[in-house]
Amino acid sequence: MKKILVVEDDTEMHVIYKKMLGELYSLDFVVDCDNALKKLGKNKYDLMILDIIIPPKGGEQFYIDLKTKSKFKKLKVLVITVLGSQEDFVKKYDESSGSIGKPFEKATLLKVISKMIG
Amino acid sequence: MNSKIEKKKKADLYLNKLEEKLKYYKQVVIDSSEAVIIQDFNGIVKAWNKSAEKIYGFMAKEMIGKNITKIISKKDRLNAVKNIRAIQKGKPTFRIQQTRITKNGQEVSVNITYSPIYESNEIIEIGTMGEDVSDLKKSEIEFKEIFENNRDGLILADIKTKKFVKANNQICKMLGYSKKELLNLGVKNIHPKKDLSFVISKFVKQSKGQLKEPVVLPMLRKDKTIFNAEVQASPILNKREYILGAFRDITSRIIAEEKLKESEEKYKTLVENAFNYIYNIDSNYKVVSANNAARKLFSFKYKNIVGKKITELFPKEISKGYMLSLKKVFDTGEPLSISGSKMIVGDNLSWLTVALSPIKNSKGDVISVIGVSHDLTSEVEAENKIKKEKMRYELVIKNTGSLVYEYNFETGNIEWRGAIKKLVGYSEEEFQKIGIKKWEKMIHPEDRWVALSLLKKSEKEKKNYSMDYRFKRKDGTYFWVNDTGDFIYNENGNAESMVGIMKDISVKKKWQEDLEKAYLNLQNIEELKSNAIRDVAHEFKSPVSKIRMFSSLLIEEINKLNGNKKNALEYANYLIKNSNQFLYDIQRVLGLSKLQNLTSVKKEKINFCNVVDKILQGYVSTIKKKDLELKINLKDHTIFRGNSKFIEELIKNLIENAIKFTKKGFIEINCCKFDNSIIFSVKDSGRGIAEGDFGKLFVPFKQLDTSVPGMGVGLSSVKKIVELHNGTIGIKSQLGKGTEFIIKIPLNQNEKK
Repeated sequence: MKKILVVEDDTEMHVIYKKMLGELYSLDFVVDCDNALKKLGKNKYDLMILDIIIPPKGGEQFYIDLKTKSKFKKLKVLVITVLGSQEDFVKKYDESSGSIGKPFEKATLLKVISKMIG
Repeated sequence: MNSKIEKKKKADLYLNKLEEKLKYYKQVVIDSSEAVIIQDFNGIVKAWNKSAEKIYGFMAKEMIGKNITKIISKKDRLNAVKNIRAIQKGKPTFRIQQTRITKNGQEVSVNITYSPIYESNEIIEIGTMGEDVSDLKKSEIEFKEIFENNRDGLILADIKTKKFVKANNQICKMLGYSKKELLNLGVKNIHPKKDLSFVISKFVKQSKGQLKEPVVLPMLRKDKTIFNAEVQASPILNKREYILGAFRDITSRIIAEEKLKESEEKYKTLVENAFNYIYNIDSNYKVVSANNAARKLFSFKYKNIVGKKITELFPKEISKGYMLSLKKVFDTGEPLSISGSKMIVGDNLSWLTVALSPIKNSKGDVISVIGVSHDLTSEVEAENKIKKEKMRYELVIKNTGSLVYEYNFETGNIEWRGAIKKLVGYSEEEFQKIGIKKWEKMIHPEDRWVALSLLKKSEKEKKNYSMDYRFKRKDGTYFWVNDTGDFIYNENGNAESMVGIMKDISVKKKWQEDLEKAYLNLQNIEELKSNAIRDVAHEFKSPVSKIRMFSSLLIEEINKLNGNKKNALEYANYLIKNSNQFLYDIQRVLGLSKLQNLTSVKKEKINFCNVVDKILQGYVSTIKKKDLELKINLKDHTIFRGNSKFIEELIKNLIENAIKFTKKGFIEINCCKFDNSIIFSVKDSGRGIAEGDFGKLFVPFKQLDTSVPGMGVGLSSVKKIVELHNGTIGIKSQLGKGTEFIIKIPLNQNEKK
């Protein structure tokens, strides 16, 4: 089973991710960027789901920081944005990254993830 | 025979006598002081005596046997021959003057007496006796020269006839006659008729040698004009036949004397009528003379102050000092001037400048002192008046709070007046040293270039100058001034000086800046508004998104054949929870917008600490869940008047904030009474706030960190609520260490406010 790290401070969202992806992927949850880095250091993940609103510095900054480090250049990231907001930065740093706006349907999420990591 | 012998004896005797006589005559001829020369009718010299040797230079042996013409000047030779012929023909002795030439070629004037020499009644030779008259002639020439060229007019007159015999050039010039004309005139012609008897009386005295001093006589010219001459005359030759008069035109001298008299008169008048007190004081400190002003000064006391002592004129204290000054002048012989000397005359006090000058006799001793005193009183009064005016003027300037300056282009100096200390902080003395160069430096660097260029442009275009710039105070701070000045030009059209006012326009500028700020704020508020709308919308999205997603999941669960009831229930609960959150958020936004428009609230009696305690109960479990320590210090239970709904919201907001931003450590709640106010503070060990961000904290919908959920509603509500209760809010915070919000609400709430 492919491994996904979910970076999301809203624990209610964890419930949603578990329900939508839990049967197909192995999921790890963290509530902030610091813990995300720790997890990324320890384990190898096929995908990181990153909420755009995340403490302390926000998802955008965290994503840019990661992508400018060679170590995580190949890490696939799916940025969860707020519907209607433009998130141009995602593709700018890594063509293989993707984004999806909240709220999303289970089918849409699965389709996007399977397209990214199979 | 006897008679023969006797006759012979007699004859011998006679002969002897004659021989003796001859010898005597010979000796006389030899010793004569006149040159005795004996010559024959051909002019051959037969005898040549010692005097002849002396006068003509030739020795007897050189001349005897030579022709006499050798020593006669060419012009007189013919005459000499004629004279010899005349003697030969029997002409008796005669005297003529002849010019003869000496051995060394010099001409000598000689008076020569020609005499025949007889032998037996026959003229056989000629004797000449020559007298050298060169010296006489020389003095005669000299006299003539002196007479003719004398600066004085000279006339020789016959005492008896009073006719003129001789006159020189100067007297001709003086009287306007030619010499020829004048020699036909006499005393009565050269004096005015009316004065003749006076003139004649003087003439008679002078003729007798009784009047040797010069007399001034009126003279009449040919052209009938009259002038005065000083005449000195004395008779010449003891025979008293002639009188020599010397005339000197004294018209110019008389004019000079008259002028002197006149100027003396003028000077006297000047002194007499001068406004200054002028007086002469002798060594006994007595007034010798005093002018009108000085006399008038004391007229209330004395008719005339001449002869009065200083001590009689002034009170003791004044006269004492005065006499000391006078003594100094008498002792040193040096002039002395005293300014600001006090004088009391009668009841009047006045101020004088006194100049004392010594008057010395021929020996150099000071015999008296001339004093000139100038009364300064009116000047002092005028000066005081001007001073007063100036003070008034300066006071006005000072009170306008402006600087008034006069800038001298030539020296670069600036004369400053006005509110110097108040505006620039310098003392007047210090500030007077600020010249044009320093002034330039005191202009704010950002304004300097424009100010100086504008100044130059105004000077060139002859316009007045007005400019706002920042000016440096002594303490280095700047303030805004409006500098308005006018140039004063000289006749060449160059600016000579500039006069102007520097007005403090800080207040005006502040208003202007405030206005600008307010305008910017308005723009800012517009931006904030649109940002707030965006942020609020974003915030609303989160619960709505979740509601949407949980709904999907719930439907999926329901649609499943073996749908999990537990899962469905869980999703439904989330739906309710998020719907509530959504409603709560909407409520808060609406609440804040309502709150911001309030100017006062209804107030009831509240026990603040009790309210805090009640609210805290609702958060205990959340705090525990986050593993934070809760410290509570509720020390005062004073009742105060406040709006309980808003106070509750205030407390909730602060506590929620503390929980939200604190991950570990503690939350501390304090409530006490201090300074007649309730002090409520919430302290945490959270992330803290940078000092620069304090200002943004209370702006509605402004979130310092958009990555943190929330709408930026809480603290702006808190602030508004505190204000509605006439309180204040303070922050103590350090980034990374924690934050403390301190609320101070006065117990004494003024309802009407």
